[in-house]
Amino acid sequence: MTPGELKTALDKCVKCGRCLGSCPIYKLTGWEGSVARGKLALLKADLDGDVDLGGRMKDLLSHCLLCGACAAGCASGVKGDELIQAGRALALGNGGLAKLQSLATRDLLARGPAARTLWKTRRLFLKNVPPESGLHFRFPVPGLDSRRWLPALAEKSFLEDLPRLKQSRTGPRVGLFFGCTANFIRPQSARAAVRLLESVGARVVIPKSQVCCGKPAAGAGDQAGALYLARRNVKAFAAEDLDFIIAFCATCSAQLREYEQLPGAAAEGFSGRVMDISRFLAMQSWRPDKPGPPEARALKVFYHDPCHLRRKQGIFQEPRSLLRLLPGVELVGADEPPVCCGYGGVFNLWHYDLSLDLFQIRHRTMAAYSPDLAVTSCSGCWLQLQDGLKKTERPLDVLPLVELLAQRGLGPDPAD
Amino acid sequence: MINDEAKKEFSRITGPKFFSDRPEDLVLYASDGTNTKGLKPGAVIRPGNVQEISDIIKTARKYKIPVTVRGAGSGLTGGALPVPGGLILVMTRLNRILIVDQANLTAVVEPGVVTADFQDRVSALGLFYPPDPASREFSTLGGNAAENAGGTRAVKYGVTRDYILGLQAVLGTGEIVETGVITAKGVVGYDLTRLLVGSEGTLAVITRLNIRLVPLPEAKETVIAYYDTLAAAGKTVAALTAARIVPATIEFMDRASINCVEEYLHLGIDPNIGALLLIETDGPPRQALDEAEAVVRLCRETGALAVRRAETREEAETMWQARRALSPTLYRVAPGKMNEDVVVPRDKIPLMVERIEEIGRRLEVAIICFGHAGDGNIHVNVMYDPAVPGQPQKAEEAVKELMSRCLELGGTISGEHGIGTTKRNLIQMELKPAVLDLMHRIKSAFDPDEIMNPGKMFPS
Repeated sequence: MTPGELKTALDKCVKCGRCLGSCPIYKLTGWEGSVARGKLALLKADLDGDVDLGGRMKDLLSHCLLCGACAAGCASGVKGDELIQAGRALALGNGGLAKLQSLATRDLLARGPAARTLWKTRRLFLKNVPPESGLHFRFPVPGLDSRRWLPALAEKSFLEDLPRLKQSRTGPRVGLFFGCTANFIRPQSARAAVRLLESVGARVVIPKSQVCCGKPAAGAGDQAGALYLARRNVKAFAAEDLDFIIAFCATCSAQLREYEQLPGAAAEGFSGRVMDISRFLAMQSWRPDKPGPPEARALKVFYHDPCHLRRKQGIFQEPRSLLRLLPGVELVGADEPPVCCGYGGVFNLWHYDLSLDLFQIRHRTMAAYSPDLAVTSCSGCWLQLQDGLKKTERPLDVLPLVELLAQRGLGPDPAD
Repeated sequence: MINDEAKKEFSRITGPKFFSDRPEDLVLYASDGTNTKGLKPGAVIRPGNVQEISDIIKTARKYKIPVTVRGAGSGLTGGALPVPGGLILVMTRLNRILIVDQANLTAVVEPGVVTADFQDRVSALGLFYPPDPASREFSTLGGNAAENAGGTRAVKYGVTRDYILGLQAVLGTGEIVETGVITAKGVVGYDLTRLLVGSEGTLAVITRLNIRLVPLPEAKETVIAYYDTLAAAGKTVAALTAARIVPATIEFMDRASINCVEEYLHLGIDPNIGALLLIETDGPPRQALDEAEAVVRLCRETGALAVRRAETREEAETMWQARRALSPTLYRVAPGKMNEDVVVPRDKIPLMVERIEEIGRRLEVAIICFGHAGDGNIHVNVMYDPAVPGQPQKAEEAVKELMSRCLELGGTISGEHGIGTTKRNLIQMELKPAVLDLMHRIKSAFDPDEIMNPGKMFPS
């Protein structure tokens, strides 16, 4: 978005204040700088030269989860989250340090040489502890709050240990986009996704040269980085003749669906084929293989709606319908309105305390149903819910949706 | 206007975290629901309790600094707009619901509580706080009280003022006072509560509110009726009154407002419809339903093209969502909006609307009408483009004329939005000099140094 386009888009905000009622951060802070109306006013004043913020624009715009709640309710059709992301890009500019950061993250997200070296040498800087106790560094990592609980890295990444794929000839050809979290931390969820897709007769293809979806870069304002990653992915998936590109992380699918709007991404025909796995499975009338054994322990499950799925893609019925099909699963709190978990991508690195406060609000509505398990469809939400829940008195387990569907619907993973 | 010494004192009162004169905060608190441009406060302060507010006002008085109180900053007449260089006093940190007394049907709240949050809380207990300005999802109870906000349910339930039993407030002198009662009745002394409600921050800072609650109606029914003209819809409203039916709300929209909201929500309303009525009945299930059916009958008898009762809660909620989102969607017609909310005796609505249409045609400005047909309150939106020479003047002329027409019909120039900055120079059309002078004298008793929201309500 050029500064001129951004200015025109900003003019559509009439300052009615409707976004104050939906912004999770404003509800906590009561500070106009945390809500879209305020941030858009700042952007506008900055572009018009009305105010000199001395280069602090990026910090000011950091107060946003990019959850899209403001845009969903805006009567003037202002896409607050997208404008704030565009503003972050302008604020990031092309300065020296910014460029260096951008190149470094780009390499990491594109699984480039530095990333590969880091992955191979990870044991040098990680403490050797049982995986269930989480990720522990040997030294403090800048930008990472020491209170944060992170899951341990996988023994082998998903790419290093790809499952054998069935060669169905009749089903739709489906490209699997697995994302960084599944690759490095949770390969079992990618394997679960493969099993689910194959169980409805799809022929699964896993392009090996796929990279990060680019949302972390885009969210941080690094447009060039996001574009670079988009092009890599478009190329990776173009090599195959695919009917669908399926992701099981809401943030990934939301970002992949935006490729077509990125000038220069050459993504014509790409975004339209991207679909979240829950919608695909529902469309293919997925059913559990066999009714589970009668002794299967009854599970009270709370499904957490990722903002990038419910608000950005309008998908919230499908995960619920799929969960209801599982033997022994009782879905609780299914009618609760969506509540952001507080992760917000880069937001939680910049504002960890606020992020935890937001989790508390999420936790309150969830805990009221005393579930046995929380389930979600976004790697960001999954990380955040685990971190938050570890700090509560009754730490619940959080499972990616695909894993519960595969475990309960198809039986144990033969690879485990 | 705020010198360094004063800044130091303010910062000491709340702690530096909640006082700011940084350029970003001056931008953030520069505008409100009027979308006014070009003003900037000198500093922003966000107190946490009444004592801090009292100290802030005393300091402001010492240095003669104008103070503007702000809740959500969603008002439509500029009550929360800064006085250039003055202090903005943000009330959002005072956001606790202190007491909900179920035995006495009362509540005590701080002013920063969001209206819808309060309504949700009491309705979970089977209680009801009826005032529902379209901004209820984000506006605050303190702001609602300062502006005496109305809403769609005023027909049957009245406005904010009818639910405020008593207040705690900090006067323009810094004194903390308590007015009114927390009982069902009270006649001791002047009714200062009713004076402060609707005073638009020109007399005092409201710091706590005693609120009257009523039992939550068990059931609600929504009826939607379509007409070819607004005048035809007016006949139904008159017939309802004649039949002694008082629904909870009777809202109307004209063709232009229907189009705006249609563009936003895509409800599938026939674009040839000239007007619609949105009527809600409430009470015990049987009564709400009987009344809704009587309404449907009357709509048919008085010439509605189509009438339907919402079958589900979702269907009704979509219509109400459309109604609440209406005001900001009007900007789709033109970038400038003069947002008036005249009231006429309810049987004069068709006549008033006729006159408004005539004014629009003659002065060649787009005028969009919607509002609360049940209580005669018409939201008249004169749309214009500030960039086109002559248009703002024409719009202003239209506003002046429609106000004269409204007063001729025995009406008042604002039913619920207040006067603020946008109507301060029209107030003399309605108030006699002797009354304005009396108001001035009352103001100086509360605010001897004229620091409380100067430049609002009174003519320049």
